Amino acid sequence: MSVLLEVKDLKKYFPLIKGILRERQIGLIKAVDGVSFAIRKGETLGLVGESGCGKTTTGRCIVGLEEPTSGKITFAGKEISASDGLGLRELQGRVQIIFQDPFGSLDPRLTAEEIIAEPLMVEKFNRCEAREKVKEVMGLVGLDSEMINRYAHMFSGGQRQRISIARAIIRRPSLIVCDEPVSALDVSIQAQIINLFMELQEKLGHSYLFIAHDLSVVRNISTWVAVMYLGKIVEVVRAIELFKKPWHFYTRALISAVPIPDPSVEKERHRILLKGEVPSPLNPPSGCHFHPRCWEAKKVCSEEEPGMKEVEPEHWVACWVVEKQLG
Amino acid sequence: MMEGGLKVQDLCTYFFGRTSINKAVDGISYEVWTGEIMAIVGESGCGKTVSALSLIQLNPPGSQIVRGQVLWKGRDLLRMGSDEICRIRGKEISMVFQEPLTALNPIQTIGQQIAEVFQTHERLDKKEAERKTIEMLEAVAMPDAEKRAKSYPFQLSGGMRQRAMIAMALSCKPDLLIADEPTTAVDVTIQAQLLELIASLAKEVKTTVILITHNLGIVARYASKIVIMYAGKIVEKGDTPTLYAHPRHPYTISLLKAIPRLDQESGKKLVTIDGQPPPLDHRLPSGCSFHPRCLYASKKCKEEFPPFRPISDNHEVACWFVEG
Repeated sequence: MSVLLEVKDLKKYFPLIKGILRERQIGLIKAVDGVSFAIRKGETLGLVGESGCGKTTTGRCIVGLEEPTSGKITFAGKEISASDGLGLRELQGRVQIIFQDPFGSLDPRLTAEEIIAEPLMVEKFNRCEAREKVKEVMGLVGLDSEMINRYAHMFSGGQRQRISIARAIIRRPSLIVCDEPVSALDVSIQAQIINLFMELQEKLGHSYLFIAHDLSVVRNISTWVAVMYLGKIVEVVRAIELFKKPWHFYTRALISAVPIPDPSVEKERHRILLKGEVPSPLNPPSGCHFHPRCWEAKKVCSEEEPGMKEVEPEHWVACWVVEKQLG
Repeated sequence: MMEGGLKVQDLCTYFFGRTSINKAVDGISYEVWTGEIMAIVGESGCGKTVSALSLIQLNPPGSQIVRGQVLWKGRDLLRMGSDEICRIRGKEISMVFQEPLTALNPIQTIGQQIAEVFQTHERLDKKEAERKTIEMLEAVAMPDAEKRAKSYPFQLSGGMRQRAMIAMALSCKPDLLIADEPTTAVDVTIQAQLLELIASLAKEVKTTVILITHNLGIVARYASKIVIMYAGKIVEKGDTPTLYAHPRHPYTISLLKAIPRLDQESGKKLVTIDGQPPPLDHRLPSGCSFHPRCLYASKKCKEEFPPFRPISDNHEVACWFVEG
């Protein structure tokens, strides 16, 4: 299958400014620090990591909400950059984003119809045609088209997230960036929305960049999973293999920290408890960012940064120890 | 065996509106033995937090504990005067709240806040209280405890705040710890650290723990007993292994199937529960509150709330559909 989106060595640094009258930069927050990945047509890449690891910033750079400090983003064979207005407008029809908070991301003064039809306004559009289109996508996401004139606050959390999805798919984009789209929802509603994401992909054939912290959710929906730690991707693997064969020690710890809802399985599991907290991206550790918390860290880990290596077919890991083990 | 445990009987906490009554907690009963970890599970708005707050008369303003008994060491906590319950809160029974940023005092350092517990309940002088505070912070694996004791809550990360809160709750070696979603605001690796801490404590000092959560994975890992709540009522309760292996209530069954599991095949459709949890106001469905979402609902379910029936040792369920 052909590659839809390619991200190469993406970096996004935020300057840390101090002072009121005379502002001066006292540091750089390296939110995203050299991230590369690709998404193929019709597939889903899950991006997981703990808070502050840069997964949201990566997503925002791709849709053009944030201008990358450096790096190359290629979409459908064309390089894009946030400063290129025309290119961005073209991109907007083909890449959409769904946000985490279904309460904060919908304008309370607009009706469902106005919210869902908003992406159409970029181009010339016909009101009647737009209404038909809105009704059609409302049907696709499982909303009653009778509710077209209601305001956002009249919907429940799950329904609101359906509205966000309808807004995202109305221009039939080829890529949808989903930023923690189910983490604000209750378990029973979460399952409905996850299924909806999968059904829509089957019907419309778009790709997802699915950003979330919940490993079980990400693994279930994704074709590939990329694990992020402090602004860097440490492991990329097929979703089916993730639980069976995690290589990077951070991935192992992350998986072991996620409890499985079955007491008999839980009893048998080996648990890895990580020490300490995630260090600040303002002053990340030298070498491999994970080395201060890693129980297998060698001398080289604190000195040199490991690069991504394909340790087995379709499985990339950035770790000195694993590299050595696998020869 | 009953000694030291907690027995809740027919607890009802209602919110009284101008025109309506919201039955947030409607007649729940359970028992926890000493040194046991019991989980209360349910979706948002099902009354799990209000029910726990009611145990120590901390039910939110606007609500009233209408009926019920909370038996603790042979006494009823709900019949105690405010002086008496104040002596118990924070000493014998303490609580860890969900959102540490709002639960901690923003204008006091966490050291001061923890020391206050020692000064109030153990009548220690300031110096001694400070020393014990740092000991406590070290016990919960707070990095750089001495320095952190002088920090204000906003200066700490979410995980450290929750550690401070747990240190505060544990400082008087409580017999009962009520943990209300203690790890919802923190990352999974920190969540694992905090829960291991609480679990090891329950084992060592024989602290009884009531763990309120919506995460069925956490329950499977740590709790020995589980109570499932839906719309203010308990629908099923039992030993964790039994309940996970043989769930009987349609709500529990679908809840367990609705969560994606790490060890399962990926890319599978999840089993969903149609509709939404009932609204937080008085418009509860008649009869069994779950009937509008239930696949097996019959006429009887719409009319009468099913009584609690034991179906095996330590496993009870409230459902008309389940045969005894």
